[in-house]
Amino acid sequence: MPDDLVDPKEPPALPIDGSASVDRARSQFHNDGSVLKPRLLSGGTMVARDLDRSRRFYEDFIGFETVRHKPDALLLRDGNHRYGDHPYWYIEVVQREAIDHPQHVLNHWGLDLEDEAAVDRCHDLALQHKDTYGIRKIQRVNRQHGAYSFYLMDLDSNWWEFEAYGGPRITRPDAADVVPTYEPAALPGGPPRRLRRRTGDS
Amino acid sequence: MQADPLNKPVFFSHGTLQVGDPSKTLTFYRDFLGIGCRRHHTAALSAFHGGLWMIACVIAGKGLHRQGPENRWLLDMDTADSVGEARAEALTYQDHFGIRTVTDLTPTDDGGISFMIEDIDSNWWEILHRPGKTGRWVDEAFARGDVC
Repeated sequence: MPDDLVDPKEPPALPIDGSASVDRARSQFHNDGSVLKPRLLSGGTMVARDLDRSRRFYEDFIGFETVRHKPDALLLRDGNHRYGDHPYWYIEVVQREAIDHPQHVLNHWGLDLEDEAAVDRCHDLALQHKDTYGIRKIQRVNRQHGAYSFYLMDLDSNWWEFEAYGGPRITRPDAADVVPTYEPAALPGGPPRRLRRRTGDS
Repeated sequence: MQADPLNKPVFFSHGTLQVGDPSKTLTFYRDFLGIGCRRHHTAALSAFHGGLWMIACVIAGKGLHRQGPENRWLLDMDTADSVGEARAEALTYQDHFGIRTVTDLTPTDDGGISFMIEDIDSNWWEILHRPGKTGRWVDEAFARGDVC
Protein backbone atom coordinates (compact mmCIF):
# COMPACT_ATOMS: atom_id res chain seq x y z
CA MET A 1 0.00 0.00 0.00
CA PRO A 2 1.56 3.32 -0.96
CA ASP A 3 2.19 5.55 2.03
CA ASP A 4 0.76 9.00 2.47
CA LEU A 5 -2.22 8.69 0.16
CA VAL A 6 -3.74 11.70 1.84
CA ASP A 7 -1.96 14.69 3.25
CA PRO A 8 -2.28 14.17 7.01
CA LYS A 9 -2.43 17.92 7.46
CA GLU A 10 -5.54 18.11 5.34
CA PRO A 11 -8.40 18.77 7.74
CA PRO A 12 -11.64 16.84 7.38
CA ALA A 13 -14.12 18.96 5.51
CA LEU A 14 -17.49 17.36 6.05
CA PRO A 15 -18.98 16.27 9.34
CA ILE A 16 -20.94 13.04 9.21
CA ASP A 17 -23.79 14.35 11.33
CA GLY A 18 -25.74 15.59 8.33
CA SER A 19 -24.77 19.24 8.74
CA ALA A 20 -22.55 19.26 5.69
CA SER A 21 -23.37 22.15 3.41
CA VAL A 22 -21.46 21.06 0.34
CA ASP A 23 -23.55 19.30 -2.29
CA ARG A 24 -21.28 16.45 -3.24
CA ALA A 25 -23.67 15.41 -5.99
CA ARG A 26 -22.30 18.30 -8.05
CA SER A 27 -18.94 19.65 -7.01
CA GLN A 28 -16.18 21.48 -8.81
CA PHE A 29 -14.80 18.03 -9.53
CA HIS A 30 -17.78 17.09 -11.65
CA ASN A 31 -18.23 17.84 -15.33
CA ASP A 32 -21.69 19.26 -15.94
CA GLY A 33 -21.39 18.12 -19.54
CA SER A 34 -20.72 14.49 -18.68
CA VAL A 35 -22.18 11.80 -20.91
CA LEU A 36 -24.03 10.02 -18.07
CA LYS A 37 -25.99 11.83 -15.39
CA PRO A 38 -26.23 9.36 -12.51
CA ARG A 39 -28.20 10.22 -9.41
CA LEU A 40 -26.03 8.40 -6.92
CA LEU A 41 -23.01 6.20 -6.43
CA SER A 42 -25.00 3.91 -4.18
CA GLY A 43 -22.69 1.06 -3.23
CA GLY A 44 -20.79 -1.95 -4.41
CA THR A 45 -20.83 -5.72 -4.59
CA MET A 46 -18.64 -8.62 -3.56
CA VAL A 47 -18.91 -12.39 -3.20
CA ALA A 48 -18.80 -14.97 -0.42
CA ARG A 49 -18.87 -18.78 -0.48
CA ASP A 50 -20.94 -19.37 2.63
CA LEU A 51 -23.28 -16.51 3.48
CA ASP A 52 -24.21 -17.88 6.88
CA ARG A 53 -20.61 -18.08 7.98
CA SER A 54 -19.60 -14.77 6.42
CA ARG A 55 -22.61 -13.11 7.97
CA ARG A 56 -21.30 -13.87 11.43
CA PHE A 57 -18.10 -12.06 10.55
CA TYR A 58 -19.93 -9.06 9.08
CA GLU A 59 -22.31 -8.74 12.02
CA ASP A 60 -20.44 -10.00 15.04
CA PHE A 61 -16.94 -8.85 14.21
CA ILE A 62 -17.31 -5.78 12.01
CA GLY A 63 -20.64 -4.54 13.37
CA PHE A 64 -22.57 -4.31 10.11
CA GLU A 65 -26.34 -4.62 9.94
CA THR A 66 -27.27 -7.32 7.44
CA VAL A 67 -30.35 -8.75 5.82
CA ARG A 68 -30.80 -11.81 3.61
CA HIS A 69 -32.82 -10.03 0.92
CA LYS A 70 -32.49 -12.90 -1.56
CA PRO A 71 -31.84 -16.59 -0.97
CA ASP A 72 -28.36 -16.17 -2.43
CA ALA A 73 -27.50 -12.63 -1.32
CA LEU A 74 -27.02 -10.36 1.69
CA LEU A 75 -27.13 -6.59 2.07
CA LEU A 76 -24.69 -4.90 4.45
CA ARG A 77 -24.92 -1.42 5.90
CA ASP A 78 -23.18 0.15 8.86
CA GLY A 79 -25.00 0.58 12.13
CA ASN A 80 -24.82 4.38 11.84
CA HIS A 81 -26.16 4.31 8.31
CA ARG A 82 -28.14 7.55 8.59
CA TYR A 83 -26.15 10.76 8.25
CA GLY A 84 -28.79 13.47 8.14
CA ASP A 85 -30.48 13.46 4.78
CA HIS A 86 -27.54 11.86 3.04
CA PRO A 87 -28.12 8.51 1.37
CA TYR A 88 -26.13 5.66 2.83
CA TRP A 89 -23.85 3.18 1.21
CA TYR A 90 -24.47 -0.54 1.06
CA ILE A 91 -22.69 -3.68 -0.10
CA GLU A 92 -24.52 -6.53 -1.77
CA VAL A 93 -22.82 -9.85 -1.07
CA VAL A 94 -23.68 -12.65 -3.47
CA GLN A 95 -23.03 -16.31 -2.73
CA ARG A 96 -20.76 -18.12 -5.17
CA GLU A 97 -19.26 -21.59 -5.07
CA ALA A 98 -15.80 -20.26 -5.81
CA ILE A 99 -13.99 -16.93 -5.62
CA ASP A 100 -12.97 -16.26 -9.21
CA HIS A 101 -11.15 -13.00 -8.46
CA PRO A 102 -9.56 -13.01 -5.00
CA GLN A 103 -9.26 -9.38 -3.96
CA HIS A 104 -6.05 -7.43 -3.50
CA VAL A 105 -5.41 -5.27 -0.46
CA LEU A 106 -5.75 -2.26 -2.76
CA ASN A 107 -9.35 -3.35 -3.34
CA HIS A 108 -10.67 -3.05 0.18
CA TRP A 109 -13.60 -1.63 2.11
CA GLY A 110 -12.81 0.96 4.75
CA LEU A 111 -14.43 1.57 8.12
CA ASP A 112 -13.65 4.44 10.45
CA LEU A 113 -13.36 3.59 14.13
CA GLU A 114 -13.71 6.08 16.92
CA ASP A 115 -10.06 6.56 17.78
CA GLU A 116 -6.65 4.91 17.72
CA ALA A 117 -7.44 2.90 20.84
CA ALA A 118 -10.42 1.40 19.00
CA VAL A 119 -8.12 0.41 16.14
CA ASP A 120 -5.71 -1.27 18.54
CA ARG A 121 -8.61 -3.04 20.20
CA CYS A 122 -9.99 -4.15 16.84
CA HIS A 123 -6.57 -5.51 15.89
CA ASP A 124 -6.32 -7.46 19.14
CA LEU A 125 -9.82 -8.85 18.61
CA ALA A 126 -8.95 -9.91 15.09
CA LEU A 127 -5.97 -11.88 16.37
CA GLN A 128 -8.01 -13.33 19.21
CA HIS A 129 -10.94 -14.42 17.01
CA LYS A 130 -9.02 -15.22 13.85
CA ASP A 131 -10.07 -18.87 13.74
CA THR A 132 -13.64 -18.22 14.84
CA TYR A 133 -14.30 -16.01 11.84
CA GLY A 134 -11.91 -17.61 9.39
CA ILE A 135 -9.82 -14.45 9.05
CA ARG A 136 -6.99 -15.35 6.71
CA LYS A 137 -4.55 -12.46 7.07
CA ILE A 138 -4.07 -9.67 9.58
CA GLN A 139 -1.55 -6.96 8.85
CA ARG A 140 0.19 -4.83 11.43
CA VAL A 141 -1.26 -1.56 12.60
CA ASN A 142 0.44 1.26 10.79
CA ARG A 143 0.39 4.99 10.26
CA GLN A 144 -0.30 5.57 6.61
CA HIS A 145 -2.18 7.98 4.37
CA GLY A 146 -2.91 10.19 7.34
CA ALA A 147 -4.62 7.45 9.33
CA TYR A 148 -3.84 4.90 12.01
CA SER A 149 -5.05 1.63 10.55
CA PHE A 150 -4.62 -1.99 9.65
CA TYR A 151 -5.94 -4.37 7.01
CA LEU A 152 -7.31 -7.86 7.25
CA MET A 153 -8.42 -10.42 4.69
CA ASP A 154 -11.61 -12.30 5.47
CA LEU A 155 -12.45 -15.90 4.70
CA ASP A 156 -13.54 -15.01 1.15
CA SER A 157 -10.44 -12.99 0.22
CA ASN A 158 -12.19 -9.67 0.73
CA TRP A 159 -10.02 -7.02 2.41
CA TRP A 160 -11.12 -4.60 5.12
CA GLU A 161 -9.38 -1.56 6.53
CA PHE A 162 -10.09 -0.39 10.07
CA GLU A 163 -8.79 3.09 10.64
CA ALA A 164 -8.91 6.17 12.81
CA TYR A 165 -8.49 9.68 11.51
CA GLY A 166 -8.27 12.95 13.34
CA GLY A 167 -11.78 13.44 11.94
CA PRO A 168 -14.06 11.66 9.51
CA ARG A 169 -12.26 10.39 6.46
CA ILE A 170 -13.78 12.68 3.90
CA THR A 171 -11.70 14.09 1.11
CA ARG A 172 -12.27 17.79 0.82
CA PRO A 173 -14.51 18.57 -2.13
CA ASP A 174 -13.59 22.24 -1.98
CA ALA A 175 -9.84 21.78 -2.23
CA ALA A 176 -7.75 22.06 -5.32
CA ASP A 177 -6.28 19.04 -7.06
CA VAL A 178 -2.73 18.46 -5.94
CA VAL A 179 -1.92 17.26 -9.44
CA PRO A 180 -4.02 19.33 -11.85
CA THR A 181 -3.98 17.05 -14.86
CA TYR A 182 -7.62 17.10 -15.88
CA GLU A 183 -8.78 18.42 -19.21
CA PRO A 184 -12.37 17.72 -20.33
CA ALA A 185 -12.40 15.19 -23.10
CA ALA A 186 -13.03 16.37 -26.64
CA LEU A 187 -15.63 13.79 -27.55
CA PRO A 188 -15.61 12.45 -31.08
CA GLY A 189 -18.61 13.74 -32.99
CA GLY A 190 -19.24 16.63 -30.60
CA PRO A 191 -21.36 16.64 -27.44
CA PRO A 192 -23.18 13.47 -26.41
CA ARG A 193 -26.57 12.84 -27.94
CA ARG A 194 -28.36 13.65 -24.70
CA LEU A 195 -26.76 17.08 -24.59
CA ARG A 196 -27.57 17.72 -28.23
CA ARG A 197 -31.20 16.90 -27.59
CA ARG A 198 -31.27 19.10 -24.53
CA THR A 199 -29.88 22.09 -26.38
CA GLY A 200 -31.93 21.48 -29.51
CA ASP A 201 -28.79 21.08 -31.56
CA SER A 202 -29.24 18.20 -34.01
CA MET B 1 -25.81 -12.53 15.63
CA GLN B 2 -24.49 -11.80 19.05
CA ALA B 3 -26.13 -9.02 21.00
CA ASP B 4 -23.14 -6.71 20.92
CA PRO B 5 -20.73 -6.75 17.99
CA LEU B 6 -17.03 -6.79 18.76
CA ASN B 7 -16.47 -3.54 16.88
CA LYS B 8 -18.62 -0.47 16.40
CA PRO B 9 -17.46 1.50 13.37
CA VAL B 10 -18.55 5.12 13.34
CA PHE B 11 -18.62 5.38 9.57
CA PHE B 12 -18.46 3.09 6.57
CA SER B 13 -16.27 5.58 4.78
CA HIS B 14 -14.76 4.20 1.62
CA GLY B 15 -14.00 1.53 -0.87
CA THR B 16 -10.90 1.30 -3.02
CA LEU B 17 -10.00 0.33 -6.54
CA GLN B 18 -6.89 0.36 -8.69
CA VAL B 19 -6.17 2.49 -11.72
CA GLY B 20 -3.47 2.41 -14.35
CA ASP B 21 -3.21 5.86 -15.94
CA PRO B 22 -4.79 8.37 -13.54
CA SER B 23 -5.35 11.00 -16.23
CA LYS B 24 -7.38 8.60 -18.35
CA THR B 25 -9.33 7.36 -15.36
CA LEU B 26 -10.12 10.83 -14.08
CA THR B 27 -11.34 11.88 -17.51
CA PHE B 28 -13.51 8.77 -17.81
CA TYR B 29 -15.09 9.30 -14.39
CA ARG B 30 -15.81 13.00 -14.88
CA ASP B 31 -16.64 13.12 -18.56
CA PHE B 32 -18.36 9.78 -19.12
CA LEU B 33 -19.63 8.38 -15.82
CA GLY B 34 -20.52 11.83 -14.48
CA ILE B 35 -19.18 11.25 -10.98
CA GLY B 36 -16.92 13.58 -9.04
CA CYS B 37 -13.24 12.81 -9.14
CA ARG B 38 -10.17 14.64 -7.96
CA ARG B 39 -6.47 13.99 -7.79
CA HIS B 40 -6.02 14.45 -4.07
CA HIS B 41 -2.57 12.89 -4.00
CA THR B 42 0.20 11.99 -6.36
CA ALA B 43 -0.56 8.31 -5.67
CA ALA B 44 -4.34 8.36 -5.74
CA LEU B 45 -7.60 9.83 -6.98
CA SER B 46 -10.82 10.02 -5.02
CA ALA B 47 -14.23 9.49 -6.60
CA PHE B 48 -17.59 10.38 -5.09
CA HIS B 49 -21.15 11.17 -6.08
CA GLY B 50 -24.11 12.01 -3.94
CA GLY B 51 -23.01 10.69 -0.57
CA LEU B 52 -20.43 11.22 2.12
CA TRP B 53 -18.36 8.21 1.20
CA MET B 54 -15.76 7.97 -1.50
CA ILE B 55 -13.77 5.53 -3.54
CA ALA B 56 -10.02 5.83 -3.14
CA CYS B 57 -8.51 5.05 -6.53
CA VAL B 58 -4.95 3.93 -6.01
CA ILE B 59 -2.55 4.32 -8.90
CA ALA B 60 -1.18 0.84 -9.52
CA GLY B 61 0.33 1.49 -12.94
CA LYS B 62 1.03 -1.72 -14.79
CA GLY B 63 0.40 -3.78 -11.66
CA LEU B 64 -3.37 -3.55 -12.03
CA HIS B 65 -5.28 -6.38 -10.42
CA ARG B 66 -8.00 -7.38 -12.86
CA GLN B 67 -11.52 -7.48 -11.47
CA GLY B 68 -14.62 -9.46 -12.39
CA PRO B 69 -18.20 -8.23 -12.64
CA GLU B 70 -18.99 -9.81 -9.28
CA ASN B 71 -16.97 -6.98 -7.72
CA ARG B 72 -18.56 -3.85 -9.12
CA TRP B 73 -19.69 -0.34 -8.24
CA LEU B 74 -23.33 0.71 -8.49
CA LEU B 75 -24.48 3.89 -10.22
CA ASP B 76 -28.18 4.69 -9.86
CA MET B 77 -29.94 6.47 -12.73
CA ASP B 78 -33.16 8.49 -12.55
CA THR B 79 -35.19 6.53 -15.11
CA ALA B 80 -35.24 3.23 -16.94
CA ASP B 81 -34.93 5.13 -20.23
CA SER B 82 -31.75 6.80 -19.05
CA VAL B 83 -30.20 3.37 -18.49
CA GLY B 84 -30.91 2.42 -22.09
CA GLU B 85 -29.52 5.76 -23.26
CA ALA B 86 -26.43 5.26 -21.12
CA ARG B 87 -25.77 1.90 -22.75
CA ALA B 88 -26.08 3.45 -26.20
CA GLU B 89 -23.61 6.15 -25.20
CA ALA B 90 -21.24 3.56 -23.77
CA LEU B 91 -21.15 1.83 -27.13
CA THR B 92 -20.71 5.15 -28.93
CA TYR B 93 -17.75 6.18 -26.78
CA GLN B 94 -16.36 2.71 -26.09
CA ASP B 95 -13.13 3.22 -28.04
CA HIS B 96 -12.70 6.82 -26.98
CA PHE B 97 -12.69 5.97 -23.28
CA GLY B 98 -11.10 2.55 -23.61
CA ILE B 99 -14.18 0.76 -22.29
CA ARG B 100 -13.41 -2.97 -22.42
CA THR B 101 -16.88 -4.42 -22.07
CA VAL B 102 -20.49 -3.25 -22.36
CA THR B 103 -23.01 -5.90 -21.36
CA ASP B 104 -26.60 -6.27 -22.53
CA LEU B 105 -29.47 -4.59 -20.75
CA THR B 106 -30.86 -6.92 -18.08
CA PRO B 107 -34.05 -6.65 -16.00
CA THR B 108 -33.47 -6.58 -12.24
CA ASP B 109 -35.47 -8.68 -9.78
CA ASP B 110 -37.49 -5.70 -8.61
CA GLY B 111 -38.67 -4.41 -11.95
CA GLY B 112 -35.66 -2.25 -12.77
CA ILE B 113 -33.09 -2.48 -15.50
CA SER B 114 -29.32 -2.41 -15.65
CA PHE B 115 -26.20 -3.09 -17.66
CA MET B 116 -22.51 -3.25 -16.82
CA ILE B 117 -19.34 -1.62 -18.06
CA GLU B 118 -15.79 -2.85 -17.62
CA ASP B 119 -13.60 0.23 -17.84
CA ILE B 120 -10.04 0.72 -19.03
CA ASP B 121 -8.70 -0.30 -15.59
CA SER B 122 -10.85 -3.46 -15.48
CA ASN B 123 -13.13 -1.97 -12.86
CA TRP B 124 -16.80 -2.84 -13.33
CA TRP B 125 -19.72 -0.42 -13.04
CA GLU B 126 -23.38 -1.39 -12.99
CA ILE B 127 -25.58 1.37 -14.38
CA LEU B 128 -29.07 0.72 -13.04
CA HIS B 129 -32.48 2.05 -12.30
CA ARG B 130 -34.81 0.63 -9.67
CA PRO B 131 -38.41 1.81 -9.35
CA GLY B 132 -39.08 4.19 -6.48
CA LYS B 133 -36.94 6.56 -4.56
CA THR B 134 -33.20 5.92 -4.69
CA GLY B 135 -32.15 3.75 -1.79
CA ARG B 136 -35.69 3.01 -0.66
CA TRP B 137 -35.41 -0.59 -1.76
CA VAL B 138 -32.58 -1.09 0.71
CA ASP B 139 -34.67 0.36 3.55
CA GLU B 140 -37.55 -1.87 2.48
CA ALA B 141 -35.35 -4.94 2.35
CA PHE B 142 -34.16 -4.32 5.92
CA ALA B 143 -37.73 -3.65 7.03
CA ARG B 144 -38.93 -6.94 5.51
CA GLY B 145 -36.15 -8.95 7.12
CA ASP B 146 -34.65 -12.19 5.94
CA VAL B 147 -36.34 -13.99 3.09
CA CYS B 148 -34.89 -17.30 4.23
